[in-house]
Amino acid sequence: MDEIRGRVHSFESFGGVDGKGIRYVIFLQGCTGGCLFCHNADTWDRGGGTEFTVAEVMKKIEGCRPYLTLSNGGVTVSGGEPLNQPRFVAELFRRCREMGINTAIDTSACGTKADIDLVSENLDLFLISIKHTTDGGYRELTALERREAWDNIRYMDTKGIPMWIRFVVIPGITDSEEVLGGLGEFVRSLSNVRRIELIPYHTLGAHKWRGLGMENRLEGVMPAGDEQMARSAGIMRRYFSNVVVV
Amino acid sequence: MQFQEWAGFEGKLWKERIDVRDFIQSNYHQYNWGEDFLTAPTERTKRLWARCEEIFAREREKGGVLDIDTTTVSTITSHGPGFIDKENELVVGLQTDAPLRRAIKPFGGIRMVETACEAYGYKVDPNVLDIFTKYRKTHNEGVFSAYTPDMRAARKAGVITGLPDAYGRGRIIGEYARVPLYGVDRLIAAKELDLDGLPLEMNDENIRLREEISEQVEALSELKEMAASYGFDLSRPASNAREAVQWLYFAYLAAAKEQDGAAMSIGRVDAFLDIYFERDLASGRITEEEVQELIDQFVIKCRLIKYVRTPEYNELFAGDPTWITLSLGGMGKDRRSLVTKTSFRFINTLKNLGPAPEPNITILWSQGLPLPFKRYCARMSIETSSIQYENDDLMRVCGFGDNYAIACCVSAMSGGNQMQFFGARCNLPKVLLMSINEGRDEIMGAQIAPKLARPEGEYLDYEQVQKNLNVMLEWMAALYVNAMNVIHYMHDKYYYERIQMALLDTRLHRFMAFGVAGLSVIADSLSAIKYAKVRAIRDDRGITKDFSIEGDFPRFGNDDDRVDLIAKEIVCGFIEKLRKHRAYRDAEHTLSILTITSNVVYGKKTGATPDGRRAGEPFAPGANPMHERDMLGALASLNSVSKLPYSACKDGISNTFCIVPESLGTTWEEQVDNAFFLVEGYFMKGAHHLNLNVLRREMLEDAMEHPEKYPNLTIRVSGYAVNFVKLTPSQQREVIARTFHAQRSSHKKM
Repeated sequence: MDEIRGRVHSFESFGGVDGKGIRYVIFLQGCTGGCLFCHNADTWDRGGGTEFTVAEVMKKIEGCRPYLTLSNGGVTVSGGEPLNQPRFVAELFRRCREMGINTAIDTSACGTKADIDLVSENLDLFLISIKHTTDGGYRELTALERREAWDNIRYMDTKGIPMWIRFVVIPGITDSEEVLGGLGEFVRSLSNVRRIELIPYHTLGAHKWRGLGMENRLEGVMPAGDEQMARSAGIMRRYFSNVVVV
Repeated sequence: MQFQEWAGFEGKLWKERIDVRDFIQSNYHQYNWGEDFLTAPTERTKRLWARCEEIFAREREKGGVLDIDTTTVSTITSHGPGFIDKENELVVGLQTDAPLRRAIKPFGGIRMVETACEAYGYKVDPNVLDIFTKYRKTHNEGVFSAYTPDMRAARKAGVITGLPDAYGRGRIIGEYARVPLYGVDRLIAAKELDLDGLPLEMNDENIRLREEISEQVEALSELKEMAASYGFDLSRPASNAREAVQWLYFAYLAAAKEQDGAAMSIGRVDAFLDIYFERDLASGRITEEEVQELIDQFVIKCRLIKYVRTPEYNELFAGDPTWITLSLGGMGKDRRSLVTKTSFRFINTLKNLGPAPEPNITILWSQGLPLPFKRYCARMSIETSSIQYENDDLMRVCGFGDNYAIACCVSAMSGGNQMQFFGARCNLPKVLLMSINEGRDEIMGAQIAPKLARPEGEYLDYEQVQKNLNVMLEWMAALYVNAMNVIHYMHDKYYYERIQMALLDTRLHRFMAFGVAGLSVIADSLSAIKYAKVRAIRDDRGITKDFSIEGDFPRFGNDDDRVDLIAKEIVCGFIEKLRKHRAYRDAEHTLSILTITSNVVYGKKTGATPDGRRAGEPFAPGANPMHERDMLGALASLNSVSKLPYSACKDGISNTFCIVPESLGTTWEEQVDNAFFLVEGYFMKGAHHLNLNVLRREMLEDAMEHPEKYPNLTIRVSGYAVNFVKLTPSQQREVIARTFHAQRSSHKKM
């Protein structure tokens, strides 16, 4: 099983913002989400990155274990979209669980139920990116279907594994009462959400888009300021108490 | 022996003999809670500090030096009393008769003093020049009269640099607490007893020791005289909190007046002073505000200590540092934490007075320290980037006990019974280049080392290079120890540290502290030769001017044993080679991996290296991985450094670390937690030292452009902190080029 290979974009041995405590973060290569606000567009191409076996990745994690244990942190698989490499993720998490290392997955929830079953066998935390609250909004911002994503999120919720919801506040696009309210209603319908992270849209990733020769359709949209974030958080808190502005 | 000043103090041993540690252990109050008790600065302190900031501003406007007294040779008693603002000044005493008026100390070397004065538009008084050129030999002259041609050549080529052969060696920490605890008369009596007890056979050693003790006694008398000029009687012990602080400061001030050492640290005084504070707090003689006021004002005094330095010195050790290293916390052998309220109060000065490089706040970190203290440190690190951390669990068990302090940046020594002979550092990448260039220096082309065969073949062969390097390092070690022996023999002879040594035991353990620079460059170079194909490109002298590298190779800083173990072997091999040569006064050889800011100058003086580093490019500081070569994030980088064995590098392994605040965590609480776990985890891995900077590159870039906006921006460089705006532009660029650990995340960070 150690021979299962994954396509990895990069490793971050000190992750402070992708789950509880200090995380060893593995950014997988390959994503079909196509989010317009993505800042890691270089992780999209499924043919890119470098192949690693689970054993090779575990060896890297092993060296950081004291930090992960001390801080009640663990391993986070991000991307890219981890659900695109479910067998690799599942095996990695199985090995982590064996060693008592906490696991988290950072996903847009696009994949099959079978993929979700696989990755959640030994999973401790879902970090779920919700992009918008309407079908049209999803289509405008991403290559994903809202219905499919939200169905998957409801399915994830049945697993009884804690979830953190992450939502990018894009001025004029995702920061209206209506959109945030929709998100709040949805979150309220779920049982295992522990935290909502509101992430301000910013333009620092724009150079990557240019570097990749892609058209940036959000060109001209302003970054979300502190006031907008506070306002958005205020709306969200009507629905859910633990809202964190990143 | 019993003094009325000791009323209320417990314990026995320390009353019978000079034993500050026993006094601390018998009397200190552990404090295991949080920072809530801390108080803001008093009005007096605010006024005094405002006055100081005015004076600092004037100093900056004048180009870095406010004034130099060029006629008076600085000694303990050379200058009459000086004040900043008598009305608001609670702790008195200045190095000269006015704040930031610098004093000259020609005993280390008159030329150095002359050059330094001239650099700032001053001329040394002709009488002083006359005395120190015609009648009085200096340490500097002594050294050069004994250096061999080989030593001079190695020094000129810069293969060993920063040797203390032209000024004071520093790195000695007098146990300044002895003065408040015992009073000077009791200390004199103890030294006289030591003198009486010396063997009567008059050989070199015994004669020297007799003379030294007599000098020490003389210096102690001068300390009393100096204090008396401020109206204090130091012959007796301090009787209250204020006197304890004042006595301690006077003892340190005497050293700072007499000596010119690059790094004269204050030691570990938190638990000691706390005992006096607790006694006065308990009897209602003082309030918390007044205690904090004493600490704030003591720290102000530390921030005013200055020396006359040359521009060349500033290149090596940038930002006018004095390394008044203040060691806080740590654990006792009995597993009681030595953290007291006063440990907090010292850190609180970063808030009360604002961040500053001095004193160099150093936390002796242990797994066993109280959690609230560790969290407080982490929080203050994030807010000020002014704190360094050293692994107490490591140092305590490696022979330093529980009363040691840090000298300079990372050099531990046990309080009162250990000292060190400081010895700069050897440029390892240059040694590697010499082993590829037949023993010639790659810049000047001169034959510095014994001639060696040039490695054969199209590509550099790892085995051959290793073999040559080994020969080169043997040669280097012999020369290095011998040069150090010359230096320290002469320093003892011409510029003996009378007052500092008076505050140490007569019989003490000496270290001889060697150092290396460019460790990550030489490790990556050897890794390149081993794992990639490296071709040497030679100029018409046959000396390498560049290297072409085919293929990839592991780089130090990625938690990869293939290269990390190369780095480890180098330091282990080098200390072994040094140990083969007897050190002056039977000192114990130690090694540091520390560059201060000299990594920039070292790089400037070093040709292109086989790791792809261009000629003249700075090295990484201390034991750091090379800039931006640590590609797997912060922990992988820290893991590589933590593999370097402290047992081989007992003079310290410096790691300077930068992280972007947002990368530490999402919420403030999480940032504090993760900063704390970062330090804790690093030390659990057996690492020794961490300079923790929490800042953004953009801010430093802005500070380069607009220094006026950031007069107090403090950052940790390599074992100490500096005002960023006081660095030279090339040093600033090097700091900015370092790896800033910033996490990439799905949405936010790049």
